[in-house]
Amino acid sequence: MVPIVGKQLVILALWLALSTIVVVVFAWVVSSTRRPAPQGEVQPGGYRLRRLWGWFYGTLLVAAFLVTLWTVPYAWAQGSSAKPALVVHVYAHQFAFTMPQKLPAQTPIEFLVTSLDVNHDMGIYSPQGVLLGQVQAMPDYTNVFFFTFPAPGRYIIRCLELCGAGHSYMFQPLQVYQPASAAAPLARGV
Amino acid sequence: MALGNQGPVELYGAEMGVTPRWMVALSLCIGFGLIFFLGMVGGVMKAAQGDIVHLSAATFYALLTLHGAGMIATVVVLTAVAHWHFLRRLLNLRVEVLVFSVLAIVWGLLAAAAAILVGGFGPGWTFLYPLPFIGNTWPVWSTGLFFFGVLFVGIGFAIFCIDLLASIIREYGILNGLALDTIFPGLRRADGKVAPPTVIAATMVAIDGLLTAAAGTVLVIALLAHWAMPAFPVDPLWIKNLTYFFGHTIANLTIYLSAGVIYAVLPHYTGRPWHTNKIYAISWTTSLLFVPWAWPHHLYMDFVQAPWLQIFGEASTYIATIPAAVVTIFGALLLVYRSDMRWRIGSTFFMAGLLGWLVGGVAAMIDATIPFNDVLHNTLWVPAHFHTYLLGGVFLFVIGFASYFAGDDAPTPPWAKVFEWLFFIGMIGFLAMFYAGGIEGVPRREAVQPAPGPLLAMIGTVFAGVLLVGMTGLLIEIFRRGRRNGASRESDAT
Amino acid sequence: MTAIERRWPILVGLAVALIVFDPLLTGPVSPPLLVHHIEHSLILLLAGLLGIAYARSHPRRYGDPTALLGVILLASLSVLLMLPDIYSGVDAYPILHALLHLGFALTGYFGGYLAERYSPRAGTVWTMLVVMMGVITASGFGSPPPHL
Repeated sequence: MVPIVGKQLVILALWLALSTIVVVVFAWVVSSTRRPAPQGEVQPGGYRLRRLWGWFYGTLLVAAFLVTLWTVPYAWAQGSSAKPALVVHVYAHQFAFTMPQKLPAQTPIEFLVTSLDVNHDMGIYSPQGVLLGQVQAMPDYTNVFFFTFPAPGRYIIRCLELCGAGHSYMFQPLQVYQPASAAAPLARGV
Repeated sequence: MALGNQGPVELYGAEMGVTPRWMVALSLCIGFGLIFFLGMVGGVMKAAQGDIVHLSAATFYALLTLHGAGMIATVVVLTAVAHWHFLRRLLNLRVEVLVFSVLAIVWGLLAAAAAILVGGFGPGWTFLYPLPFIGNTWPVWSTGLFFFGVLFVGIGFAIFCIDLLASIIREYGILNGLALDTIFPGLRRADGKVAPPTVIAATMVAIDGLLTAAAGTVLVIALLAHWAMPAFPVDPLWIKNLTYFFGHTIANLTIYLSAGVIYAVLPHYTGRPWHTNKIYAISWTTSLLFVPWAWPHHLYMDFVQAPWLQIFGEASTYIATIPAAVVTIFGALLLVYRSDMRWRIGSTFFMAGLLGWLVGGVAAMIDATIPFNDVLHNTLWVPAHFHTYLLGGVFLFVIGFASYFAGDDAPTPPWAKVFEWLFFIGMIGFLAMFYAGGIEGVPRREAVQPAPGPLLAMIGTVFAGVLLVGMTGLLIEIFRRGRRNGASRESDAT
Repeated sequence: MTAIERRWPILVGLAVALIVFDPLLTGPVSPPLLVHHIEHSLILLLAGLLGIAYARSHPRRYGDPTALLGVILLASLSVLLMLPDIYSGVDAYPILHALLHLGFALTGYFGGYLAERYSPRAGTVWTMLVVMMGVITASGFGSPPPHL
């Protein structure tokens, strides 16, 4: 089994918590039908509750939306803070990625990802098998994707978009090494 | 644009000898037959991923395409027919239009199935350009035949929406179809008639459905043009946007068609009326405006996409959930709360469906949040969430409707309760394996998955088997009731 | 019926004629694809309105299934006419270009007419559909990717 850590842990906890609340509310409503009351008696309270729920839910959405605006993975949002030390071209094609086989850890890398045939997707899996991030590879377009490998090890690059009969076998190892000095400038344009 | 009234409307239809009730029953039978067959296809795929049976990769992707395209088209037919059943009297809908729509969709589905089963066409039901045309294992004719099939599905849906919207304009007008007269007194009719909630839902579905059908037609014609003349240029980013605009919206609309059914059916089980008010007008106008803008959440990982579309896509997805969570589902819970609810197969499935809609919706919103999407996109989380609200939501509403339609006044017999339990246990276990796979980062749409995919798929296959057994038992019970009650209803069928 | 209600079809007809024969006045020009698609959608819209107006002023029996068939074929035809391969071939020849525009006008007119004949207000909805399709084609139908 792949360890559930990082974003995946947050997602699972969030979904389980919210789903549990939903199930409890439904169970409560269903059990309430054992002691029926006229509609006129429950409706005014229900409408008040709906107004509260509406405001609460709306506020929650606005807050979630604003938080996500700050954390999107796009180049335009990362601004100057994500100065890449290395630019790496990735060419996806049926059924492999043409890209370097070794890359440094702890180095901000700018991946320029495109496809030579159909749509592919470059998914980065950690040595433990955790999906850390991904970007689509589309013909005629180049996706700019910033990524920093957190630690050295044997990563897997896996295609995450159905690209033909060989799709399941479109994955390859990527050796991530500890750079001699994290601050050492690396040649641009690998 | 009034150029004089045309006087009494004289219509064809009766001479076809098709009664509405018969047409609804026939469509349900065709739909459930297809669901059963395509569900088996899904089970075989799971078994193949779980190493229980062996399929070649090409066969697997062909079956994947069949399962996806077939299920969406079938669920569109089933929900449209269920909603139509209630709209027919309210809007004077004509049965031959439904006959034509269902025939066109089923015909399109058969053409697509031939392309898949005979030709081996298998780029997935989203058929992302240029995969149908490049380095493929299927013949050129199957690509064209599949797109013709999709065109027919689009035409069938367009005809349904055109007739529905035309009828709404005749009976209420577009604005009052959305019950905007509850907000703007100037729109109020002299007779004080306000559109009931099920008509409001129909107005939203008809307009957004028309837009979806328009997108689908342009999409398929562009692909057919490229198929016939390979020099015809196609922009991969444009066609991807259009594909998801069509695909996401048509799948999403099935839940709004279902909402129209919920508005009509729940009052029957609770004995409480469901009235229109301002909140419904606001909420359905919001759905109308924002549901068609949710598609960009499928393209978050295409970093070249215009930034405003990424952001607006997330905002629209969020906004589109407000009417569902605050108005329709909350309204349904309020209707049921402390009501004298008659618990039958129908009412049980409607409540369970509302639950599935919410749980799947929560998973969908998490996936539609950009910073989470980069670890969920194209993992099993995606089929997890859409199976939750298609299988665990829309399909439950359809079973609930079928049960209501067949006659649901007798309490559920104990043996049918056993099948109910089997259905729900199978469904929950089956969905849980999808979610587990998504969290573990297992990719979707893979003939051979990395660990722990095969193990989860093996467990999922067992649950899928339980689900299919439960479903078969329930459908037999509903069919039996329908036959028994059908004869007595024939007299009042018009 | 007010004077405006009686006369608007004439004004719309004039507008359609102006757009249809515009290539004869402006000569061989190729506007950007987006403008071109929008222009064609406008012809469909206005001609569709004329078809509806005619159908309403001559009410007949509704629900003829052949009208339904025509409606579907014409809607598909309207998108086929949007194939830029067709325009690029005719743009250089003002007369052919005007004929293509005439094709759009006829498609819109008969589509609106037949749909309205099939069921009251269906002409309005059909016209909405083809305009939606026109706007969607304007977003990139037949455009190569920008990098090519």
